[in-house]
Amino acid sequence: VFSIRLGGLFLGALSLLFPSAACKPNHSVTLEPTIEEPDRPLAVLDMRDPKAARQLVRGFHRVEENSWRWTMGHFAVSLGTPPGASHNGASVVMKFSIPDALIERYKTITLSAQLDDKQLSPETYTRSGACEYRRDAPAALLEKDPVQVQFALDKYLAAGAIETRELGLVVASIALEPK
Amino acid sequence: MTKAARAAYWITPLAFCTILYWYGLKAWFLQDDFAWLGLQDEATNFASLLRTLFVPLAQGTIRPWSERAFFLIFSSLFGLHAFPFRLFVFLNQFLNLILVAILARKLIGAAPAGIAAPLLWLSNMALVIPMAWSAAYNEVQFATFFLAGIYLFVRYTETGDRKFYIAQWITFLFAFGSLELNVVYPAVVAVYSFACARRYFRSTLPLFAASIAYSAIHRMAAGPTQSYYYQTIIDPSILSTFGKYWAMLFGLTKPDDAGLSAWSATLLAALTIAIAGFVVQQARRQNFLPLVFLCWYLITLTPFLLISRHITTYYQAIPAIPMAMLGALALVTAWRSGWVWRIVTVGAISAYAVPSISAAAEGMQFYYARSQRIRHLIESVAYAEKLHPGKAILLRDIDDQLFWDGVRDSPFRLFGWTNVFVAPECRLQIHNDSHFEPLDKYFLPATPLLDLLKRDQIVVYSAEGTPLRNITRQYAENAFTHPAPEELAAQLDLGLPYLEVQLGEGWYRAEQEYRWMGRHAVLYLPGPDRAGQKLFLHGAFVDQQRSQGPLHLAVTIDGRPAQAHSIGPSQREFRFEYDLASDLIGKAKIEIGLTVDRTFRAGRDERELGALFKEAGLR
Repeated sequence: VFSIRLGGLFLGALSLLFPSAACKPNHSVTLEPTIEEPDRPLAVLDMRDPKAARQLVRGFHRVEENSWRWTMGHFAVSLGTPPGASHNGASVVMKFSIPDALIERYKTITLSAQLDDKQLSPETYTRSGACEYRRDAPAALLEKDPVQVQFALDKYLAAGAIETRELGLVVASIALEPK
Repeated sequence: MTKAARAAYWITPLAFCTILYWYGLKAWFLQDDFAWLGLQDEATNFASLLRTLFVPLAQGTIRPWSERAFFLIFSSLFGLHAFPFRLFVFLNQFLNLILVAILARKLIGAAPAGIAAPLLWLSNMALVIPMAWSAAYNEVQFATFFLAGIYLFVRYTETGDRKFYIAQWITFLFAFGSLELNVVYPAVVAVYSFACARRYFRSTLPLFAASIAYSAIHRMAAGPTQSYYYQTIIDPSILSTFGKYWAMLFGLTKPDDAGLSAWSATLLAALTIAIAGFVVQQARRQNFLPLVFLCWYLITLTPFLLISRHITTYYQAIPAIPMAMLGALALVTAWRSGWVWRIVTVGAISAYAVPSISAAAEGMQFYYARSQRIRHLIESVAYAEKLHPGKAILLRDIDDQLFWDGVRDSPFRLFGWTNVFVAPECRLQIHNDSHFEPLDKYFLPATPLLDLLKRDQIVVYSAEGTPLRNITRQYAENAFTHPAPEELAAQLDLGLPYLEVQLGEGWYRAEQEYRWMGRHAVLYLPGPDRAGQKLFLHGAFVDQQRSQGPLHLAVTIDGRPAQAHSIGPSQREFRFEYDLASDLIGKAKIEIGLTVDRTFRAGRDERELGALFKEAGLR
């Protein structure tokens, strides 16, 4: 009798398995807060990251398609210096697209940048599409944290040219990359 | 007995169990638990549920009730909250203690045996792991079947009522789903009936047929074990293995200890002589019950003597039951034999119980502390995952114990976290076991690590102390100012984004565990570290490709063409291996070029798709 009851118990337990088989797996776990580093300025501003917005100093329009932003003709960001930058230096890297309308209208555009007070060498683009602007930033310029990088286009689409906004580049990310 | 005395009689062992094994109630998961906790991901419908319950798993075991069902039910109800698991184990153990009490009282014929036997069993160190580690619950559950089966058989021999015999059969058959040790159960009842109820000896013989049939079916289903540690070894080393277990039974040594101290050896000899003397003396008086208990010990231990590469304390959880009954019988007998024997027996039992209880208490704290380190680690990583979505997580200060307890069984994969790695510098502190899979996949090599740091795609946490501490900034400062030599991963999971620094031209983004290449793609691996290592490629062949006929894959290894392979229309997956030239051994980086002879476009996707890969690497 005892054994039959025991068998019944196991059959009962087995029947409990059926809902579990149909259920979504349960991997719930308690969260234990970690000890985090003090919040500091980001060295990489990904336009998809809402936290990056506070370091867009000026010249950026709203984020679009959750991945990029239009800039104006002049725009600036504040960037945290990456680890090792005061020792090795770093690179200013901007990933962006040049809109067809800009190249069709002006044929060439030149992008110049300034890291705090230091002018970085400009670059001229002749084709629309995905581009990268990359310049070395010497260690001496990166001793303070954060630094400001100002960008300027020699030609851009003025407000009212094709829409009400002033339009420059389509930027995906701006970063100070460690070396 | 008064009502209060009767209550105390039954409650005392349960209270002792709760006090001694208290830390077991609070223990968390470790090691194999994580594999069992992942079972629920595999049981997605009725067919897969049956597969999950009955297909041989770890070391070819089939334990649907004690491992599969236990973990499936509790993890689906409670996730990774360990307390319900632990509570259930304790409740099952309470049932065992009651069964031990009933059985000891019945067999020995004295009420004090019903309290002494469970207390002596609880004092044994063999119960530490089953009471602390959910993956060892099978021992606790099987004890229920084992004790219930013997009890029913004894009742059958007392009453001749076949309902007990049938109930015993049902219990016996169910027990196969709990632990393979059940194959020796027929020998246990056969010995008992031969010594104490000879008339029923023949009724035990059909049980042997069931054990033989189970062994044959199990062997067919699971095949010979591939695990080094679980291979059967029949040679004279069985005797030394027995010696080890015998000393462990009395808490005089541990599995990893090299030998016995002089004091332990003397004590072991004294206890052995005392037990042998008691058994022989009783046998000469035609009382074979002590001999039966000793035989039960040997019978239930024998299967473990054959796997001498894996000696562990908890394998004696079941063999310790008859020895506890033997101890209870010795106490009862001594009590009836005057003060000298009382003092001698109490002295002998104390010599076993006092250090064993102390060691068991220490063992429980040790397991509890280990499990808590893992809990802190995983719960902190869970928090970090929420805090830094999309980034890789690097764990520093993972020591050997923490790695083997809480990282090696991939607990992070339970949550779908494929982004958690151990820092490469921890590798030196973690011992390698050549009988297990290589540990490479757990570590992030220096070159991809530096790449992720540069791209701000990784956060680094120190596991030194609890909770985890974010040390990304300090770690990155050191990594950039003192860069490590180039070190690439020898195995690339192409479905993950963390090793992309090892991908050259021609690859698209990772998608759902796979990654497409175009017509031509390049990847980088380290050179082989020994002769005989091969390059392997693993990928899939989708329907649209198969309908266009075979796809030819040409491979170059560091610029030299390797044997070309074709992926046939009948193949859904492909796995190719390539020899590696000996002059590549030790090179920091080799280039693998992959070219297919045609591409296609899928629907509106404008990409030119060549071949779909899952893994590439050396092995």
